[in-house]
Amino acid sequence: MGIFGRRRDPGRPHPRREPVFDGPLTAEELERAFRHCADFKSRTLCLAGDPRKEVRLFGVEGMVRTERCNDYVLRPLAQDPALAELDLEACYRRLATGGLYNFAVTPATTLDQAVFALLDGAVVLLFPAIRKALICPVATEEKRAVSEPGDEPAVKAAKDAFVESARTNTSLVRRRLRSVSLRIQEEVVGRQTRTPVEVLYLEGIADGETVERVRRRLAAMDVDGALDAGHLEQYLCDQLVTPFPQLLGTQRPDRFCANLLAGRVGLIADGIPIGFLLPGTVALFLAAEQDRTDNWLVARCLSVLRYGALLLTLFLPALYVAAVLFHPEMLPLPLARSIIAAKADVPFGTLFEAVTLLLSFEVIQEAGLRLPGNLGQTVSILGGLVVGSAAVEAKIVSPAVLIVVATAGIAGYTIPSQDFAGGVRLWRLGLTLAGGVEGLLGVSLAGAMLVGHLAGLTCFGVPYLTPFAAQAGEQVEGHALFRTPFPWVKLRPASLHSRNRRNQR
Amino acid sequence: MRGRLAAGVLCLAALSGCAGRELTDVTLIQALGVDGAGPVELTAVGEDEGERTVYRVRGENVTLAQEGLKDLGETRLEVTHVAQLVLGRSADLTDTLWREVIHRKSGYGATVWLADGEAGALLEGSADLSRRLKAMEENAGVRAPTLMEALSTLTREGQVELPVLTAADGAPELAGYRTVKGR
Repeated sequence: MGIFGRRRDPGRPHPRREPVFDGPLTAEELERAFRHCADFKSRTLCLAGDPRKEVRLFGVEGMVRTERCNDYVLRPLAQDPALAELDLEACYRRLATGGLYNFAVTPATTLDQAVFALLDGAVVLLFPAIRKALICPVATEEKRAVSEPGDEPAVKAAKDAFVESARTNTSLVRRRLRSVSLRIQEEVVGRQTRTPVEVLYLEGIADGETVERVRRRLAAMDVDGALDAGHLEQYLCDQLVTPFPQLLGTQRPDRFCANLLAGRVGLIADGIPIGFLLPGTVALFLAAEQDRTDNWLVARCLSVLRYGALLLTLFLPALYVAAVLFHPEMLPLPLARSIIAAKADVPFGTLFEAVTLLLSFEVIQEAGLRLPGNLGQTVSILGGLVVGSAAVEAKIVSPAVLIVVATAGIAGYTIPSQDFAGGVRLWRLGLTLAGGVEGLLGVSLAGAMLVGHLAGLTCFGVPYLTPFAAQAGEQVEGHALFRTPFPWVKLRPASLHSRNRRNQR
Repeated sequence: MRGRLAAGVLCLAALSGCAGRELTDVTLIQALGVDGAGPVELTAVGEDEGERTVYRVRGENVTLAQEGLKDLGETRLEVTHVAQLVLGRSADLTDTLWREVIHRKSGYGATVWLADGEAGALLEGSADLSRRLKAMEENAGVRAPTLMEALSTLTREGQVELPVLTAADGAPELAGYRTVKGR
């Protein structure tokens, strides 16, 4: 029995049907494939007005940009005088080899090709009499304009961010990496969504084996759809039972390119305004864009501060609970006295207070995220300030716990990756519980479990704790905890197994 | 494997015998007075919700007497924040210092004083003793060694100089310094 009823037998997986539409490339088959689709349109045309030279034009309304279809396809069909003199077969050849004004015109030989081209926004020009067709890509490019990366702001860095169109995103990368070594390989993922996923890497710099593994896994992803980041990460990564992310998602094309230069492999999926980088390591998730743009000494200090904040957010509530409940000797007398005074009329235990406040913090954050911008801020202010101070005044929680939880929460916001911060928040709750149950012994045990968990994670063969616990036997060069000036970092990270380690003279 | 690990951790938690105690359920002892060389009479001054309370307990030695302290008050008496250790004339300095250091809970930062008579009487008769002694150290320049310093000097040099206190009008006063030899 499951929790809510009988466990279901998932049954045997059904094999992927290849080809999906198995039939002759005819107008009837195309119409059958798109039956009950209100947006599927077709038009019958006679070349040069000759009814013997009938052709059919198919397209999906909304996916096709009408102006392009008119200018690139319909205008030459109507105005080319040569079409009047040629037979249908010759017309087909002429249109395929330059008669149409499209950048790319591809002959379609199977029904599958034609159907999926239509779904991609192309029009299909079918010659029923000779059972041939041409695919003319005239897809609409209606999409969100390239805007600022709202989730990853940086003062001295580029202000463009990835959008939902994979091709726009690859162009943003191309504009920065004007190198013929930049390879963009495409895999189509999802039986129903048929999402194009681009694998980007610099040939000769990225590890070929990692690229191959990524491609193999994408090809093996036999799912209904890949609509969001979770799908890619959960199907691509080695370990699923972890709250920590293994692919770094970034909105910033400059950051994406910098990591491609370091030897990482990038993924861009159509419909997801984020570029993914792999393999993910702890240092990658704790690096911010300003580490590269700021003065290196300033960046080094901020980087150390960020790691300090990570430890603070993880351990502060746990250490507070452990100290108050089990090890009061750790607290200086004035602090112990003020904690006692503050807790005098509070009816709840310290562990209950801390855990409840940590959970409330999450609830306020979640509520703030779900609501539109201004309303979200109002909820945060109401939850954090009004309810928090009212709870302290009403002696429902002690101010010390509130300060500890708020400090830990704010320290958590210094983590650049929100995905990583999510994992840290989950472990913070566990550490606090361990501190409340077993004191410092519990915190130490839970801390050791956390280190063990992180040490057990690998992403495409690269240990997650690189470069702190593994660096392919080499000294760390470059930016981990301490950022070094770029002229001193002459090698790419050893852990990425780059074929070309040297990155400068 | 994971199940075993979790079971192991739970067993460890259960067997450790630890149980947290809220700070509000604890009275922090701030000054300890020791009289006698064995049996020992211990006088503890604590502050519970702003009220000064004095506890007396006897034991075979300082360690056992401190164990006995725990059950005296309505709340648990903790010697984790003892700031001053006052020894009466009859107290065995070496034994007391060693036991306090080994016992560890009192903290090594507690300063060591001598009473010009019974430590218990001095502690009981002086209101706000702990704060006054602190003020004497910080403002009047009285040199009172910490527990660790006193024991270290005693072990190294065989003697240690300690400030001597007398009670005058319900308040402790410095009556000079006395060099005490160790055993």
